[in-house]
Amino acid sequence: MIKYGLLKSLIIFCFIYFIVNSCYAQSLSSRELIENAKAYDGQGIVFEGEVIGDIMCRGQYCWVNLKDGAAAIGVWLPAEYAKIIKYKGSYKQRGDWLRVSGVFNRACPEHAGQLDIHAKEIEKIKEGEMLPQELSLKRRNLALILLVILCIVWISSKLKMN
Amino acid sequence: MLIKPQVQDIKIVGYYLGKIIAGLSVLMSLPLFLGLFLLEFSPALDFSIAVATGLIISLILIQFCKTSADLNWMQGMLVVSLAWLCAMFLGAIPLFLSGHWHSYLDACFDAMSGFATTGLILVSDLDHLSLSCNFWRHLMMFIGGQGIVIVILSIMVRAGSGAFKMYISEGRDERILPNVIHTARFIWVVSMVYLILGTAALSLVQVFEGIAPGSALFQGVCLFMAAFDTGGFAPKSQNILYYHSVTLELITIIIMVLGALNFNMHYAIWHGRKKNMFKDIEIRGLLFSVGLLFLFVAIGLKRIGLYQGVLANFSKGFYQFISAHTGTGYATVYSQQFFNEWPALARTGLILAMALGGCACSTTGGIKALRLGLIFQATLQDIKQIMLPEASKVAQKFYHIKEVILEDRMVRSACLVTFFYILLYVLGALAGMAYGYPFMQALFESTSAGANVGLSCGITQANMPAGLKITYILQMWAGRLEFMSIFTLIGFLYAAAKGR
Repeated sequence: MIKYGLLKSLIIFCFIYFIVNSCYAQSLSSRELIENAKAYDGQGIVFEGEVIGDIMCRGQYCWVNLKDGAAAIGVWLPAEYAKIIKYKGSYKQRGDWLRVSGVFNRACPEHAGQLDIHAKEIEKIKEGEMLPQELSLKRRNLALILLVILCIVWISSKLKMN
Repeated sequence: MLIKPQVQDIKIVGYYLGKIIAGLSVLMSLPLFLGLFLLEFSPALDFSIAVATGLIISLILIQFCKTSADLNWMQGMLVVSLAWLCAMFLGAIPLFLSGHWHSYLDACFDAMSGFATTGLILVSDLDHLSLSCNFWRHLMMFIGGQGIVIVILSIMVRAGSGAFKMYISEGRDERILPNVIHTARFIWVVSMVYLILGTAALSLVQVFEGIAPGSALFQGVCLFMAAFDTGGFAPKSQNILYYHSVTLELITIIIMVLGALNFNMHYAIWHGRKKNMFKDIEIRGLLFSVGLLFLFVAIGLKRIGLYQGVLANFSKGFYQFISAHTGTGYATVYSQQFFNEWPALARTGLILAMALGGCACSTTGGIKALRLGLIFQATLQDIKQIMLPEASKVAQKFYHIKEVILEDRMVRSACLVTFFYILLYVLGALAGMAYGYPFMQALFESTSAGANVGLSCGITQANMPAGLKITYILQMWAGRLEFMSIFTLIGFLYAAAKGR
């Protein structure tokens, strides 16, 4: 009887563990979250994306915006978690790619009804990098040709005026 | 009999067009220098190509079409309608060269959206766009909001009657000062003073909200330009959602409302004449429509109970409503949420608010409160006339800047423009439906484009059909110029083809 009870508890534990982990394990896209916000409201989710723009620290917590290609979502996380972020997405940098596990809010009561994620865990999947700044040779030549034409037109208009 | 346009007409139009293109090219050198200052050499090269192209075209036009003749009404209207198209083609060059727009048509779409202060976007990966290119997006809104031609007019010294004709052709009904150049300069002074104050306020809030001072200043300038000119572009792809700040939302509301007010009203306030402000039919009309339509949004949102608490309802419901009514298009909700989550009543309130817009002689688009006020006054006059003996004649008076007696020509003009706006919204919605979008979505997007608002329900994307992109470009152009100059251009082209 005791054995049977133990076995039953073990099965239930494994089942719950599997459910909880499967909820967090599969990463959802921003499109899925925004378009099915009602279904995911208050649920534990996993979201991955590039850190975009500024990290906005407010007291013990920070706002980080993560973009997965389609759209960006605001993530509210403890300030100490933000320390792992090195690169923030901008013209000159590709931001760090983070995986966030947390609770999704369709209209967060704590943050004036925002659609956001309150992070429980974050993990850096891929470090960002500085983006190369290359000048296109074709465009440089085009600019030079246009400048020469501009000078000719300008001189001819001055001559005509005189 | 239809008279074929003369060569002289084309020469005069070409000459003034050349001057306007030259002015635009000079303004485009601002992001060029910003690019050099920020060591963004590739975007700086793109801007130098655009500036050189603009200057070459303008010099050729000025040289070949040189004239000392002043503009007549037709030529003034033609210059304005063509100037906006030229601005779009020229302004799109650096956008397209940046590689963030899939095609030149997409870049033209965003350029027209910028100049017409609409705010609909097709840009991809906005968050990695160079600062100089991002600055140009917002500067286009600032130039367009003041009026492209007005901006150039205020730079040009000569101000004949032609200047006045171009001023009116650009969708401005009223002069603030007797001289149109002085009016244009007053608009600039007002805008620059608000630019300094608004940028300071927005930057400070961002610094307090955790953004680095340099980034806060850049974003403050951009946000101000797009808010005051009721445009709706933002430096980041999340628009206002990016900042997660109710304080910033509150400041942008104040700036959006200032942008939606008649410049005549600003003039009166600046000269201490505030007491008659609430007597003005335009302000009354605006307050009435804000009160009534916000009731739709509030009741709709309350019924579904999506947002809990005053702050959430302010940040989402009221903010979106003011953004729609002022024709700005700043967003604190994702575009998909309007149709996935907002109830039909709230959406209808938003569509009506977008369609109505702000005040005349402001930076907003749409039908405008003054026209609604005039139609209401005319209705009132007719009712009074019916109730009085037949021999009596009712003279309807109203207050707008000063006491005015209602005239038939005012009502006729207000009714005509209102009719054309409604037609524009409906035709755009039909075009959307022809591409397979449901009626309400198509109407939402069409109204947003036609009234130069910029809120989107998700239709405006880089992968939408090219035909729909062109439709929205035409809607933004027609809505911004308030039709007459575009009808003149169509008439001119028809006369050129069929006239004798």
